[in-house]
Amino acid sequence: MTTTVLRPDISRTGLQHFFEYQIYRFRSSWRGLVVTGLFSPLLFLLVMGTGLGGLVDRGNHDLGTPSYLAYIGPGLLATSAMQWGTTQGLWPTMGELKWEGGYRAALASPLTVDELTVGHIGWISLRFFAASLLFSGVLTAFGVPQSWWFILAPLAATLTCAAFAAPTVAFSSAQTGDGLFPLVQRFVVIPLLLFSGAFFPISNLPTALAWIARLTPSWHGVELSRGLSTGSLTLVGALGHVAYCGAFILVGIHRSRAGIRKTLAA
Amino acid sequence: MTMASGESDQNPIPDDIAVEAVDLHKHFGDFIAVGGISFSVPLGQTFAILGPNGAGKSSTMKMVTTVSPATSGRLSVLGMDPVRDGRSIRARLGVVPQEDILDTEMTVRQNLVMYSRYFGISWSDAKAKADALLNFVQLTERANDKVDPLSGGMKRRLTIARALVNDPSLVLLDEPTTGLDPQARHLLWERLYQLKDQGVSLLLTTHYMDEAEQLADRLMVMDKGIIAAEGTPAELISQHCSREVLELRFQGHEPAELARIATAAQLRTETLPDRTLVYADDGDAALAHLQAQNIRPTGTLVRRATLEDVFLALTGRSLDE
Ligand SMILES: Nc1ncnc2c1ncn2[C@@H]1O[C@H](COP(=O)(O)OP(=O)(O)OP(=O)(O)O)[C@@H](O)[C@H]1O
Ligand SMILES: [Mg+2]
Repeated sequence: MTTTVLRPDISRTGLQHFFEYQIYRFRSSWRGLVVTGLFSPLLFLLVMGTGLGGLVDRGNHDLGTPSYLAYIGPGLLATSAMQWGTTQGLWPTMGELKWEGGYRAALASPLTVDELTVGHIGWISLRFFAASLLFSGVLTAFGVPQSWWFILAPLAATLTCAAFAAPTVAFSSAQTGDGLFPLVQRFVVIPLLLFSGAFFPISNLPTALAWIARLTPSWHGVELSRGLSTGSLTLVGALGHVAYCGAFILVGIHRSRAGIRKTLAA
Repeated sequence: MTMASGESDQNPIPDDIAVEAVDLHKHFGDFIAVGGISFSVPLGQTFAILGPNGAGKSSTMKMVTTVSPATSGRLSVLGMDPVRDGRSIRARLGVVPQEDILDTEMTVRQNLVMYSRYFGISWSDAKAKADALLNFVQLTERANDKVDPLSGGMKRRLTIARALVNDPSLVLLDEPTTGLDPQARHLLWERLYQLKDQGVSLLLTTHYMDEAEQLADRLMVMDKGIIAAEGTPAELISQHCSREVLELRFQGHEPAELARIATAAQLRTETLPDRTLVYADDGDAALAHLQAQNIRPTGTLVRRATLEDVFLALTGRSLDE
């Protein structure tokens, strides 16, 4: 072995190296992102926007948008954020912590649990941001946005993604196996999608359900994206949605950190 | 690296100590995995923890790697406090966990290069280091292969190479050779000697007494979370064992009068399912004595006492039970 003595410089290490590592690995796994972040919302957009939209637009509707396509487009941007955030928060978290244990190896380096936690949730969100740029471009090509504010929609959707990823990572890191994950998908994520207001206004729901829907981060995420698309968003409304999603992110990161620390200490 | 100021209260840790543990505990709920152990590893030395399954070896190692906080007791690693200075300690640590955790989406060489980056090592240094380490663990031909098809021994060597990317002052090896064939074990031992020659401190756990005997300057025998004995390999054998061991095999049961004859001759015996051990400083003389008393074993073997015998003497159980 050569005897070059390396001077590890931990003042230069941290989160950026976590991202660097993930970006490097991403070269072999970007296809999943394109499918979840672009193709599947695009499929929904085509089928629902044109197929169902043809029906909807023939009747009288008070969706507040010129067409059903313009209504559902930004909604789908937000729901793809939820789906990506939860799916990535469930299985890959378990993989990194338990199955393959990549984070266990990473924690033998100067990286800290805080950096791993923020990095993990940040990396889920960052990848979604890339997909959301593409999908937003497609929506624009379809003539969906009515306002220049739509330029902020990818950021809004990424915030929504993180608001789902953070609590999901907290949940996953506290589990010993993936037994409950399909149930979470079926009984938490799907209802949240349906009652998010992405597909129809929640005012069409019974009053009680409509109020419950307003408490979900999904509704706030959809309102935010759609508001930016239609230009009808007020500043107060926008700040409210951002704060609501932000709270989910902060609490989620806090709980994730505890779960990740505990799992990696065992 | 500066000394941890928090350690200065009563007993400052001398700066020639790699690891110092005082009354260290690790509990999981009510279960006591480590029940108050004290040991110290001087810089540049090799210290082994020998013990059977569940002894608390890995639990101890995880506390030293700073990822698992001690329930109570005092622990200092490279003069620092694992809870407060985890990041600085890990910068100078090499960790070989019990299970190989390698990145299966990368090649052998990429595993080393990308891991180096976590330590703030520049790309060019990281690449040069990766090549040197691949050579060191004899994996140069596999540099561009994926990790999955590697044999168990190769994966182990890669894990050890990865633990060395930062030129660590202290390397922690949790059962480095378990599951390897004798040839692979000897290659690893040889590499660990080289590290030792370079002044690297080693803390390792093992099930194998010959490994501890070969590598360790000092060792402790752990059982059920506590230290059963501590010392140099030679000390432990001389304190807890005779110099030689006479192994006797019998057709059917061991003769009833054996114990009485041995005791009369001041020889300690241990009855195992398949054989009887007689501890003696001169095995051949003991055998002659027993044969003169009409003990007729079907097979005999006189051998040097090992740490396995020490463990048996201490606990009445064998190491791999
Ligand atoms: N996270 C945990 N929660 C509960 N009990 C644990 C945990 N980790 C270890 N233990 C228990 O602590 C005891 C010591 O475990 P440890 O892994 O330290 O043993 P070991 O000496 O490394 O054994 P082996 O030779 O099998 O690796 C075992 O009984 C184990 O079941
Ligand atoms: Mg172990």
